[in-house]
Amino acid sequence: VIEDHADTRHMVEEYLTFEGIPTIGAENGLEGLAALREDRPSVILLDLSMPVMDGWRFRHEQQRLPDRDLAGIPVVVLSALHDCERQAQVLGAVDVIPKPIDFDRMLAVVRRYYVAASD
Amino acid sequence: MRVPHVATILDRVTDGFLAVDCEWHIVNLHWGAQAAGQASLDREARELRGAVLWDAVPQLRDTSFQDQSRRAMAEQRPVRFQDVVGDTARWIEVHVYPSPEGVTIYFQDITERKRAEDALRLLAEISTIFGTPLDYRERLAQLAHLVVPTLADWCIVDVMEDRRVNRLHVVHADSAKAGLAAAIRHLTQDVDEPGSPVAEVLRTGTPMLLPEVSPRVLRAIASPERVRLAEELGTRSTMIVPLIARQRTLGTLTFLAAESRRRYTPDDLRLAEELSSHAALAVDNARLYEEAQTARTEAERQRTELERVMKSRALLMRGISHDVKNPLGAADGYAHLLEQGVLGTLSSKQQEGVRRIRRSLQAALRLIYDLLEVARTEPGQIDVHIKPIDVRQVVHDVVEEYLASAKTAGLFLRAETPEDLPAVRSDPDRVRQVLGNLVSNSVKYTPAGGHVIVRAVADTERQPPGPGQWARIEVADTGPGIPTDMQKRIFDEFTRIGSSDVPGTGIGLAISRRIAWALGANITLESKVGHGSTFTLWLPLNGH
Repeated sequence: VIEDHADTRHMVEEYLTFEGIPTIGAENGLEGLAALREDRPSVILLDLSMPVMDGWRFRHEQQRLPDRDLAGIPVVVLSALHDCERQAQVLGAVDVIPKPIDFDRMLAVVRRYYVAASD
Repeated sequence: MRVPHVATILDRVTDGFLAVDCEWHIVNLHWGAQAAGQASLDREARELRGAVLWDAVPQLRDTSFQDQSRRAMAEQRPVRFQDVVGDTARWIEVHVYPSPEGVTIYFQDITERKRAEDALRLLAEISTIFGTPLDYRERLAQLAHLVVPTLADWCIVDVMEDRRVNRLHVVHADSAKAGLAAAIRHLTQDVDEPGSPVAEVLRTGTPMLLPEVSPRVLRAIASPERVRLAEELGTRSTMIVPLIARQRTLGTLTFLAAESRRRYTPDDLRLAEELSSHAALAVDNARLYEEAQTARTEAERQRTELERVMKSRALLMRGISHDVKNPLGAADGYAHLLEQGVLGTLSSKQQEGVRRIRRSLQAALRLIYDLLEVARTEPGQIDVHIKPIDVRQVVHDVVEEYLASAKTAGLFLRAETPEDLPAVRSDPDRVRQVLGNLVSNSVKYTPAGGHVIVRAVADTERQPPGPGQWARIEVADTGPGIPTDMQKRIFDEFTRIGSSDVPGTGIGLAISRRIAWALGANITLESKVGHGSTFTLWLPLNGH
C-alpha cells in the first residue's frame, strides 16, 4: 500500500489484514520501490499525489526494473483525483479505486489479484 | 485728379481693359459689361484718360501688378497673372499685351471662380484628413491649418469636452501674432457665458455670419475683452459654425478674416458648414471609438480579474480535493471499520454512535464533491462530446438508476417515452447526468406516495426557449412545488428550499443548468405550490 496519508494507509492495511490479506505499507514511491524488491507483493495499491516520489514516477521506475517479475506486478490506483480513471489508464493500472474508498470494491479488486498471485 | 475713386471702382467692376502708352499714361479705359450704363463709372473712366496709371491708382505701386506690367513692356512679351485687389479682396486675373505703343491690360474678376476652386480643394483635402485614423484633436488641427489662409486668416476650434468648452486650436496666418493667438487661446469659454459669440452658437446650434464686423456690431454681441481682441487682430468679417453630429452640438469652428480683407458671403458660410459637418462626424466617430475602447479595456480588465478569481478558486478546489478529502475519507473509513466490527465488536449504542459519525462525515464529503463539481463546471471547463443520442434509452437508464431509491422513499417512478421521437444530437453522458440530477431532486423532495415521471415529449405544444427545433424531456413530480419568488433563484448556486432535513448542498440545479448550457440546451421550471414541479430539459435537435 503506497500512500502518503498515514491514516488512510493504516486504514487500508487494517481492513485488508482483517480480511486475511497481509499488507506492507510504504509512505512514498521510493519506499514502495524498496518494498517491492524486499517483499515481492502480488498487487500494489498506489496513491498518485505523494511527496518524495509520486505515483506516476513510481510507476515509471517500476516498469523499467530489470527484474521483469517486479515490473509486471499489477498496480491498482488509489486516488482522490477527479480524473483518476483516466490517470489509471495512462499508467497502465489494472484497476482504480477512487477515494473515499469503497471497502467492498477495494476488497473485491485486491482479492482478484491477490488470489491470482497465490496460485 | 479724383484718385481715391479708382480703388473703389476696382471693387465694383468685374472686368474691363486698360491701355497705356510707353510712359504709362492712360490712353483708354473701359469697364466691362457689368459697369456698362453706370454713368458715374463712365465719367470716371473718361476723366482718368491722360493720367499716369501709378498716379491715378497709387495702390498699384510696388505691387506684383506693377512688376508684371513693367516686365511685359520691357520684354515685349505677354504676361498673365492673378492678384488680389480692392478693399474687399477681389481676385482678378490680368493679361498684359505689349505693343511698341505701350501695353494693353485686360482684367477679369475671378473671385467667384477662385473661391469655387478653393472650396473644391478644401473639400477634397478635408476628406483625406478625416479619412485617416487619427485622434480627432489632431484632425481638427489639420482642418484649421487647411483653411488658413485659403478661407480664413484665423481659425479657432472649440470643442465640448466633459461639458466644458475646450479651445483646442487657434491657427493664424501671421506668425508675428503669436502673442495675440495665445491671448485668444486662453480666453475662457463657457457655454452659459454672456458676450461670447462662440457660446451662443454652441447654445443655439445655429451658424453665425457677420459679413462686416464693425465696432458697433462687435459691441452688440461681444464682451469688452472680446471686442478689444477682435479689434487688435483686425477682424473684418467672421463666421462661426457649429459642429453637429447626431443632433448634438460638439463644438464650433470660428473663421476670422482680418489682413486678407476678405468679406464672408453666404456661399462661404455654406462651405464652412460643409467642412464642419465632416469635422463633426470625425469628432463623433472618434469619441464613439474612444468610448468603445474604454469600455473594451474595462471589460478586458474585469475578464482578467474574473479569470484570476476563477483560477485561484480552481486551485483552492484542487487543494480541497487532496487536503480535505483524504482526512475526511480516512475518518469515514475508520468509522466504517468500527461499524463492520473489524476493530472488535461494538455494543448497539456504540454502533448507533458510529452511524451518526459516518452520516456527518458523509454530509461533509458530499459538500466537498459538490464544490469540486462546481469548480469543474465553470464556463469553458465542461467537456462535451456531441453525437446522436437515443433519448428513449437515456430516459430508461436514468429511471432504472433511481428506481431503488424511489422505492425506498415510497414513490412511484416511471418513464414515458413515445415511439416517434425526433433524432437528437447531444452528449448522452451529460444528458444522463443532468436528468439524474433532476430525478434525484424530485425523489428527494416528493413525499411518500407521490409520483415522479420522466417523459420524453415529441409534440410542439410548448414554447421552446430559443429559435430552431428542440426536443424536450420533462421530469414531473407531485412534490410540494416551488414558490414563484424562489423559481428564479432555484438555479443559483447553494440555493435550497424548505427544511435542511433533506440532505444536499443546493448545487445540483446550478451544475445541471451549466451543463445544459454547455450542450446548447436549457432547463426551465414550471411549478405551483401544492401542485408539484416540472423541470424541462430542452435539447436542440442538432447539438449546438
